[in-house]
Amino acid sequence: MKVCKLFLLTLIFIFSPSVWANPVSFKDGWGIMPTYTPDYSDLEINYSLTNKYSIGASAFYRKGSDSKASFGIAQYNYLLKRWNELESQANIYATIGMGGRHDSILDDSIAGYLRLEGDFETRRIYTALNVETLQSPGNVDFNRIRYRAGVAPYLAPFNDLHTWIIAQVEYMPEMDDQLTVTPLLRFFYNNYALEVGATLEGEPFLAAMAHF
Amino acid sequence: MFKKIIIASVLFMAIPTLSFSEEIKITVKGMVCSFCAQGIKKTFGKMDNIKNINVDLDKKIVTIEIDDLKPLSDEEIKNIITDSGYDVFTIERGKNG
Repeated sequence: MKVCKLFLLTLIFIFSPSVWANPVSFKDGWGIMPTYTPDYSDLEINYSLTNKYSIGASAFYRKGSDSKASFGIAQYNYLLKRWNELESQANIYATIGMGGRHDSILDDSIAGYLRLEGDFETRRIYTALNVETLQSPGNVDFNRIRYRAGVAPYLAPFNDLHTWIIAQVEYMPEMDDQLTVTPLLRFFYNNYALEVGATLEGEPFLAAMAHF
Repeated sequence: MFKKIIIASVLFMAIPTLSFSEEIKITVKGMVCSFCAQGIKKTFGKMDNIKNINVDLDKKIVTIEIDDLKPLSDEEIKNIITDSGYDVFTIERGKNG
């Protein structure tokens, strides 16, 4: 198990950092991104007013070591910088949000959300780094650093099924399992994407995305 | 004479159905992901003068076939590609019969 974890971590650090769930897509484009694991779930919906920024709403569920909490957040996403090259694309996004929190122990309260994410990809490799924090009174805070790297085992034409093999490392200090490593498969078909995987401890990971 | 009238009539009837189109090849910077490039297809697809769209991820080329009677300027193409999140590298134009 240790060797496997080391191998995956090495893979990740070989590739430079980068995120798949782009919060800003194309002008007038909608994006829906649900994620499910037994310890946390996210649902994010964004509408891109331009190719630079989008507005949206997110729902987060976090099962921490002390309590369970749900957050509803209205958010603003901004593309800070994009590098378009013939063989690659890289992006840096920032997200700021405000909303409410429902906690299993404390009273309901307001909550804030901040996220910074960057990605780099070619047709063959994909890397992503995502840092986010959910903050609310009573120290009901949830932080996450997600680091990803992936390779495409084959190059498919535009309208065909695309497959990626991805290694994901997440550090969430407020959770029971603070550090998780998740190998997963990502499939693209037209404007739909699906990610299926499991942590090294056997916990399932499911994520999807649709642009329209 | 009768033959000429027949030929002229056939040609006259055929004129409205004849259509010419222009093929435009756009080399796009940053188009490395099929999922993300759907925006280009969607935006061009909404335009009524676009007859056909083809995306070649290997060559980074978007080929569009447009109605010659409703031309699309380079500026308009650049705006569409930019709104989709990409940059135009080159635009090449050719005629189709």
